[in-house]
Amino acid sequence: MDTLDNTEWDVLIVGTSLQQSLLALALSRSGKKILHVDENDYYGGAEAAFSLQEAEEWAKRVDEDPSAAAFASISITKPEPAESEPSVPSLSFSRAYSLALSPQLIYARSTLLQFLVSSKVYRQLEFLAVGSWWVYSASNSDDAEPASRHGQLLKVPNGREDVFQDQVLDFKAKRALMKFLRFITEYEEQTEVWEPYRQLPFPTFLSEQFKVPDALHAPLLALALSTTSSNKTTTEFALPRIARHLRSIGVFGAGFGSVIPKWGGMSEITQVACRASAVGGGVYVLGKGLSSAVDDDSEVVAEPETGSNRGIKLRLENGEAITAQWVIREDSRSLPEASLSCKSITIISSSLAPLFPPIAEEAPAPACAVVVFPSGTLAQSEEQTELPPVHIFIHSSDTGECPTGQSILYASTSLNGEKGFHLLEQAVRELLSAVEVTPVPTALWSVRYEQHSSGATSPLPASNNEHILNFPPPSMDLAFDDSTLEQVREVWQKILGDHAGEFMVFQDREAVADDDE
Amino acid sequence: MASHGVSRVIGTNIRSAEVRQKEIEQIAAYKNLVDLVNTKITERKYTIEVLGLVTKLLNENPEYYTIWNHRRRVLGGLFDVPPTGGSPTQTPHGEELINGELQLTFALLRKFPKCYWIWNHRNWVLRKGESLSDTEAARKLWSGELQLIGKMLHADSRNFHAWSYRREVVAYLERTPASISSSTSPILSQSLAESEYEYTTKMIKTNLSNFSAWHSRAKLIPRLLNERGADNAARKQLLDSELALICTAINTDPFDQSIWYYHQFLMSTLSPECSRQNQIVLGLSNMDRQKYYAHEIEYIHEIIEDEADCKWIYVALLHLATSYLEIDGGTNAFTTVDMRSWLEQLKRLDPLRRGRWAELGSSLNI
Repeated sequence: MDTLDNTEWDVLIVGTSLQQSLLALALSRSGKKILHVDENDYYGGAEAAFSLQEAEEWAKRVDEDPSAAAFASISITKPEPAESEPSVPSLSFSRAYSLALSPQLIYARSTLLQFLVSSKVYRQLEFLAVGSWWVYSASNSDDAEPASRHGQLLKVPNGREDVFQDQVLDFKAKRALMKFLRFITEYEEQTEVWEPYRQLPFPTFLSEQFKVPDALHAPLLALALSTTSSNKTTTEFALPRIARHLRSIGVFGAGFGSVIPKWGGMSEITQVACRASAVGGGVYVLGKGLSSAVDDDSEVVAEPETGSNRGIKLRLENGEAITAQWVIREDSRSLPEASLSCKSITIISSSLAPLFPPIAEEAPAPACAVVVFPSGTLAQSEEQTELPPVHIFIHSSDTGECPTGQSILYASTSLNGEKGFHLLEQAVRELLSAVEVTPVPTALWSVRYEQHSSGATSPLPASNNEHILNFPPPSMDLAFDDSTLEQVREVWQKILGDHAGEFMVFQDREAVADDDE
Repeated sequence: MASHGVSRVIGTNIRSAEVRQKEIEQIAAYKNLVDLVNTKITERKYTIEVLGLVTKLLNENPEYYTIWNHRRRVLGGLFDVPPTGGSPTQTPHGEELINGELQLTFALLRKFPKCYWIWNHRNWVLRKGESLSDTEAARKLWSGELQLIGKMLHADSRNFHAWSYRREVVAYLERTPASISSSTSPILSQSLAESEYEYTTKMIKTNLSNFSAWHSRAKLIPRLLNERGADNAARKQLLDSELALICTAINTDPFDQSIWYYHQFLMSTLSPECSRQNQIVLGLSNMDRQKYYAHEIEYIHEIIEDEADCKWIYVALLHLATSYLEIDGGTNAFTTVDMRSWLEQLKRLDPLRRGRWAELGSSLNI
């Protein structure tokens, strides 16, 4: 189609971030006339993946127009290559990298995976196992200066057999840990045990109810992937998340419970979803956004004779006028600073192999390692013990996100501003010195940025017009949050009404030989 | 493995008239097939066609063990058929039949991994194959079996049929020399006890609740000690390391019954009634025994402060107390009051077995 001017659509979706793309997938067999636009010239929005050059362009763009962006304060660092031996990897060409803005991990029982299967798009995706989880433990030496203290990384036990083989824990600690693990497998039926501790900090619950020694609080909290400091993480928050982690182990194979998509985090899922929508007749236009914020009381043009609703009238960036019955976009109203978190992506000159031990015999090779820096472990002074934790996901080259021999550190913390960036840098430094690899790994390239995110389960942002629906900004949860899909379903249901059918359940378009059955 | 610890529930779905009718037809067809096969067997029609009928029947119901017997009759007849002028050993006909049987049992085992008759038959097939071919080919067959059983145990490490079969495969490989390199230096048959022992270690580290792995381990230890030519110091070392292993396991999960079984085995090797071949450490004095029992009682008793509701702890303590008393240990490690309180705990935790605990109490005079 040459121009979109004066075209009419059933649904206009603005932005190809995850929720919008999944909505497009959900609508791909509905026969609705869908126009899906994105102001960027790439798919994925806040979940996109970038080559080095794309990252630089993104940084520049956000810098030039900081107003409505979900991202801020982007800066890229390219250290000067030191006199390197030929065996040490150096920065490769731009397209050798696919840096994910959203490297979330997906737990085995997540409804996302079920929907990707039932909608049949799973065949275009590849998933890799998330392997070991590590907790950083600050060194105990009192004599060393804080600056030269280096901690170590301790592996988080995944269950009974890990506890059995652990050489560090004494018997009492093992028994306490096992008692807790036994409890959490059926914690829902033992509410009397944790009900009084619901709103209390999780570490308090662990000590008082299970006599779990302090040293073990960090590994257990790590499994909850909480972005707040340990004494702000409630029992109510931590228990279901730890239970989810432990119950997911073994679902896809022995020894692991979560996966990541290959090729750049969630971006691959957005692309596959949009592709499916396009096959279903959806029209895709990149590099075009709306001309101005769509007001909630936009013109709703009515047909003079019939009185039927011709839809909402909008203009695209280049002036083209379109009408749509439904408009779906991301809420871009100015967000409170409290929702800003700091993130960084660092390319490392080593595969960091010690952090990727094999998961189990005949289990897939792990492509992601999780390293948690509990709150206070990076503190350099007493007053800093209230700092939030830092989480680093390490992706190996198996993800296709970097060349072999290198790896990518995706770091995040809920602190914003310079303090947040400083914390991230510290964490990265500590991680690199704690891993025993020769030659010493270095950062080849890194980008840091702040991102607006919404809390765990935000409701759909309100809008005055029933036919304009907004998705909230992406969740800052490090594990994919299934409630994200519930929001997509809610919007899908509103659009299709009673003729909706089953959400994300499709038949194959043509007979496909199922090689993997 | 999803099926362990889960009781089988027969679905009570209401069947429609259509489905019922279809089932009635299926049952009739099945019965006809059974009659047909039985008739042919009675008539001694040991032919390929009958083999096909038997295959069909077994695919529907591998648990019908008589039909497996029939199958072996038919196969026996087919093996005896003289080939058209070839050597009697290693007939392609025979090999083909063997391979066919291996394929059939393999496919059935994937669907019914716990059916005794399929395992039996596969064993029979391999022995038949062994007798029909030379040692090298036979060894190849059995080595292939070891790999297969490794895979099956990987899929379900607690399938005792597979473990038992594994022991038979290992036994075969052990009694057959590795290769006939030269007649001047015959290779002695080799023992796989060390590698099998390591295999049980590996399986236990993967899943502590593995009765079969612990059992195999127990069976291997006497052999291991013999083969190593272990002197008493080495024997003591092995016992101590096994005791340490089981101590860690008990401390990790005192609720797991398989761990306690192995503990019981180790305790039995200390008993004065243990036969010479099953003893780990030889020539134990009652003083030595006392020390071992006392140590066990001590650490097991400690666990009570964290897990007061674990019945196995009290069972173990009472057993140990009994053994201790039988060697006139006195009451240094515990008192009669202790024993009474352990028994009370058992009565509280396992009221369905109160008769048993009452009898235990009276036999111990507490």
